[in-house]
Order: sequence, then structure tokens, then C-alpha cells
Amino acid sequence: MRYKVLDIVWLLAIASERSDRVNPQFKKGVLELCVLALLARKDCYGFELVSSVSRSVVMSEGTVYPLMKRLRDEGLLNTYLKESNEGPPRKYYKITDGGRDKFARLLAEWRAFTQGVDDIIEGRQSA
Amino acid sequence: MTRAEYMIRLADKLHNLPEIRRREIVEEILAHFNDGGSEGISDEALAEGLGPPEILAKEYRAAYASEQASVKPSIGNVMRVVWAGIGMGMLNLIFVLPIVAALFAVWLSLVITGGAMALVGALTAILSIVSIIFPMALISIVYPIASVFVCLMVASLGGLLLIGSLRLGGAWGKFIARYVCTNIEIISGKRKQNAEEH
Repeated sequence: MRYKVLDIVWLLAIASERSDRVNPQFKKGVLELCVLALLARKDCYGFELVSSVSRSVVMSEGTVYPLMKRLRDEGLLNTYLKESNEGPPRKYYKITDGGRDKFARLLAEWRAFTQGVDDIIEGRQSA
Repeated sequence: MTRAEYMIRLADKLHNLPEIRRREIVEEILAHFNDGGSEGISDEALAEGLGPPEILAKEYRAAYASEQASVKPSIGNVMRVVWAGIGMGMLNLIFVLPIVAALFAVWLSLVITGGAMALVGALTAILSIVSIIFPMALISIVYPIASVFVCLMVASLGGLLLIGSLRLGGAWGKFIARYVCTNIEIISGKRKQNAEEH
């Protein structure tokens, strides 16, 4: 088991070296993928989005907020205000067309990567 | 940690961001506390989920800096790039200039030597021929015929040296030109080093 974990770590290291094929900042890329995936489904307000991400992925909520700001700066997300039943209006995040493109690209990278890892774990890799 | 305490510590570390940006961040995190509170989560647990305010502020600052560097060609950013470029130029000047100067001096001395040998050799060869045709006319040379051959040899050696060093100078000049162009490209940002790393 320990051997396989090391394999995965090694693969991650290689993946981050090969920047032409895999997002170099792999972990940040995965988090970005999660945020874009959630917003591709529906618009969310900050707390909703952050708690969804940190519920499934072990990641500090404090990492997600700055990321959302960066994604908005890059034009992948938009924000708008919407009245809420409880308290003041909430700021909602909405994915842009550019964000959808980026999502598709990251998803393809992710699929290829996990496929590769699965192949190694299951021993399907042709030697 | 109460939310007030968290917000104070966060805002304190955001002071070098623009006012609008800072207010956005504070509102966002405050909304996080409000929304979390209305779902029955304690301030303490929410603060723990967000991590230390100093780290959060650091990540916000990093996000802002990377956006500034990649998107907005503001005066401040351009100046930073220019200063970096000047710094690199100075480094080049300090390290490369002596080498370039020394090589140039060697090259120049080769050209001058070659030129002088060719010129003097040719002139004395002519003088020798003249003294063969008109003995005692201008000056007397002891072995005029031998002198013609020796002088022609010196002249052709000088000519070869001159041509060779001029050719070398051309190649050297091209190399310097390419080196300077590369530097300009790096400074102007056409050739990015580690573009992916922030």
C-alpha cells in the first residue's frame, strides 16, 4: 500500500514537471476544477460554494475564497447580488463562457490524469 | 476566536491592497460568518475552517499580485519590469563588458598587424623591384631579388591575417548582436522565464 502511495506522489511530481500536458500547479488546478464544476451546475453564493468544496475535498475554506477572487479577475466567474430570505442580499457567483471553456479543458486533463493513475494501480500499464 | 477578532486581524493584513478590493474581501468573509452562523455553526468553528486570518490575507494578496502582473500594464507594473530589466542590463554590463572589450582589443590588434604587414610588405616589395630595374636610383638594397620574395611573403601573410580577422570580426559581431537581441527580448517580456510560476 505504501508503495502505491509513493507511486502516486511520484506521478504527481512528474505531472507538475510536464507543464505542457498537465496543469503545473496541480493541486490548485484541482481546486479550480471543483469550483468551476459546482458553478457549471448552478449559481452559488460564497458560503454555499466554499462549504460544498470543503465538504468533499479536504481543503481549508480559506484557500477557496482567494481562488474565487482570482477566477473572477481572470474573467472565468461573474458576481451579482440577489435578495435573500435571511439578512442582507447575497453575492452570487456565476460561471462565464470563458469559465466553461476552462472547465472543459481542466476536466479533460483530470480525466487523462486519473486514467493514468488507475492504469498503474490496476496493473494495466503496458510495460 | 470571535468574528470581530478575526475580521480585525484579517483587515490589518490587507492594508496594502486598494480600498475597494479590501472592502470586497472583508464583506465576503463577513458574509461567510453570517451565512455559517445562520446555519448554526459557531464563529469558532468557522474561523477554524477559514484558517488563520494572516494566511488568508496572504493568499488574497498573492491572488491580487498575480492578477496585477498578468493583466494590468499599469505604470507601477511596467516600472517594476523596467527596473528588473535595468538590473539585468547592469549585471550584463559588469560581467560581460570587460570580456567584450578585451576580445575587441585583441581583434583590433590583429587587424592592425595584418594591415601593417600587408602594406609595408607590398611597399618594400615594390621598392625592391624598383631597385632591381633602376639600380642605385633611390636606395640600394643588398639582396634585391631575395628582398622581393621576402617582402611579398610578409605582404601575403599580412593580407591573410587581415582577411581572417575581418571575417572573425563579422562572426563576433553577429554573436554580440544576437546576445543583445536576446537580452532585449527577455527584458521586454517576449521571452518569459517560468511563465507559469507566480
